[in-house]
Amino acid sequence: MSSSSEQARKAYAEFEEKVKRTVLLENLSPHVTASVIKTAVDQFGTAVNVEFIPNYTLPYNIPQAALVEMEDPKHVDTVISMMTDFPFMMSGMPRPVRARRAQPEMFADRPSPDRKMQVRWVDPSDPDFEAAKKLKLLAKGHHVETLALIKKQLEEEEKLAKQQLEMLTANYKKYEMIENVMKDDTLGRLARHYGISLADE
Amino acid sequence: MVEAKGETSGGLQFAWGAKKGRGGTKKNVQFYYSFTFDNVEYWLYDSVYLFDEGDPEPHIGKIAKIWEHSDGRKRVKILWFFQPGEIKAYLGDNVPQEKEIFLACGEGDGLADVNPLETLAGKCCVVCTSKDERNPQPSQNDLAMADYIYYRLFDVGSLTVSEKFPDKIADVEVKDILSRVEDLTQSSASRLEVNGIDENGMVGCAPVLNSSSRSDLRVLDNRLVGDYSGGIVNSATRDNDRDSKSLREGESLPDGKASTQTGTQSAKDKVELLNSVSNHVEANFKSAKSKAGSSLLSDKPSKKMRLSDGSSTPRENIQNGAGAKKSIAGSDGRDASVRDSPQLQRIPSDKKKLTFGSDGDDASVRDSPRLQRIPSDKKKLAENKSKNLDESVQKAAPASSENEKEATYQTVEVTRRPDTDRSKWFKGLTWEVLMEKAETEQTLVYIQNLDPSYTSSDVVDIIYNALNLSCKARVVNHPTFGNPNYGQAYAIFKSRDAADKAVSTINSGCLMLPDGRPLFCSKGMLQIPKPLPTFTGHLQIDKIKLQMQREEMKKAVSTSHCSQPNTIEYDMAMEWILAQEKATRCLRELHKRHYEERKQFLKRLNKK
Repeated sequence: MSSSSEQARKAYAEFEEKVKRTVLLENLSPHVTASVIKTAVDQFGTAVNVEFIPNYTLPYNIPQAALVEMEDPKHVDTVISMMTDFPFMMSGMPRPVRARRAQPEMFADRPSPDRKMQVRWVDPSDPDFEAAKKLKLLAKGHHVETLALIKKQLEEEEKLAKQQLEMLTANYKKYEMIENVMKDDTLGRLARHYGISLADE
Repeated sequence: MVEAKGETSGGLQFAWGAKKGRGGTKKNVQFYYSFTFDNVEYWLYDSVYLFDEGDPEPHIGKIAKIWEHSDGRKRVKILWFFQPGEIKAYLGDNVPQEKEIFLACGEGDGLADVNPLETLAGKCCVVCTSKDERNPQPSQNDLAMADYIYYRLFDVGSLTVSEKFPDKIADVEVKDILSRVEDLTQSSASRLEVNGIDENGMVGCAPVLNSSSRSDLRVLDNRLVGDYSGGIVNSATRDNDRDSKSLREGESLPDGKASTQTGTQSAKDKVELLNSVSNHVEANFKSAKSKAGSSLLSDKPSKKMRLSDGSSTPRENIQNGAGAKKSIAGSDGRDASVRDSPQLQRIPSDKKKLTFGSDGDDASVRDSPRLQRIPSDKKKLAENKSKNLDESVQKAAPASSENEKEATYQTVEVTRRPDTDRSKWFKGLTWEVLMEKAETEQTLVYIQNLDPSYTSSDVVDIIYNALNLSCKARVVNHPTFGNPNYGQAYAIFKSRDAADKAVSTINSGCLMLPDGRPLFCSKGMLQIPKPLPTFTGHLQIDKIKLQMQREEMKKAVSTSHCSQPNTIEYDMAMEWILAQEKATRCLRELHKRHYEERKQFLKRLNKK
């Protein structure tokens, strides 16, 4: 018995070690694959393992997130500081990736620390039963609120993306126009018309 | 004898709490354990904000000592925390974590200073995450809700950062500095009792609660004067806890005398016994009263101004009421506390805004309550004496409330499911495949309202112990968008019947987890939309570029880069970072509110 609890403790210590070596990448495009992440992160350290966090809880299209286990806890700092100091693009622009330190709860398959829990069935005649019902409602209410906020945020993101696309297209058109003017000799004709020399000297 | 000395300091409410002892060269300094200032109750070793004039960033410190000079000057000794920015030059390779601050230690300037009490701007929730064995470990919830965390020290003498806690910092025992058990909302049933109250000082009650808590306290008052057999007041637990510190060392601990009447009362009765034995019953009076005041308070200094409460007692009304400040200040004119005229003044009449009034008559630097960072005078404290006493009380509280649970309700101690290891004999299919299979076989159940710190195996154990059903489970909290107050999990049961039974039993009944979490669940997987081919925020201009990208993506090379500051891309990226930061903060704010709502609810529950 003692050996099993010993084992559990060891497993947990190992897990904590792993958490320290892991960095969470957020706002990833769905096109990002493990190999893309590996190549990207390998610039700052050695990635040992990439694990995507699947979305099972939110009925929206949310960006991907992944846990990247590094070889050395120091690499985690490098990755985070690089991705915080510079906007870091992965498989697309201009929305950057965000890096954070991993926390134990982010791992779905984490081992359990030694803990004692007590659960109880509350009898319907118990006054606590009503309270528990209200607590359930409270939890549900909170859940709905969270979902609503996330939805709003996703809409905001959508808006920002649209706005940026417009700006970018306008900008692109501008440069294209300039390029065309240069190419089809409109520029030369204008220069001649106004008697200006286009030559560099 | 302690007397509730309700007075005003520049229009702000003030009252002393429990006395501690006298000191100073001529025994002319009175030390205290607590006081109430501007309706906020402060205790020794609380973490606080202090504002310096003209400095928008608050300083953070710990109250290491509280005293009053014979001439009425009120002083607090503050042990400082450093923001990472303040000691950036000395951090070197140590990258500060999110919300991390550093506790001062060692000898030298900047360790601790004596400040006028009036410079306090509010309480601050600082959680110590040190792995030091003397430090009670905070739960994930505590961490999520803390304003700041610390586990490292900054030595002001050698200017280095370390993780080792010495035995004493600035003459304060380190165990007083580390997190206190009662300040953490540990997710175990035994803590439930104390939970709601612990952070009372930091959370504050909704106005609705005020009247009820006040009448409770009145009950307490009566009971302390007379007998102590009547109803019980939860919210007094902490007060009593602390007040017991004021017991002098000569008195023995009436251990075991607290015969449990009913389980519910044992803990508090014990504490109250202690108190009634002590000579300092009056202290209780006082702190009970100040408690009534503190139920008005809120966690952040900025919220202070919003406190105009219709249900407050006449006494407080006078203080809050317009014009009253003048009359009180006028009548107290000779009082030293007015001479100390704090720069943090409240304008009672209109906006209730913090203003920095200028010091009228007394220009001496010593008395002007600016933040001072002068080296402290070191007066020896006789504080160790009552510590053992205090500790035993703290231990007694959770232990006996545990008994209570067992006595009153059908409680199941969660043990490891015996065959839990068998599943590991086979490597088996991946979770994704299992889930899909379970979905089609209708054996999948979505469980909500778990403690987010629970692991998959904890969930399996809970289900096994409560329902006697075995299942496979996996917690599925999303790190970016999930609510840190609530955890969810998917469980796969052996058969469709088992899953149906589990859902109906859990939903129709009430399976209460520690920390007041009744489970609820639903059948099947949530509808999650398939990811779109395009990613919001990744822009493409024309088809040529798209093709190029596909090429690159296949090879998985040069698909990532750091953006350079002289491009449109960089500007746009900045917009994204701003948007993301905003979103994160919004979510955090919402979750903080949820956390407090939950806590308040539980607190109200415990009162009944």
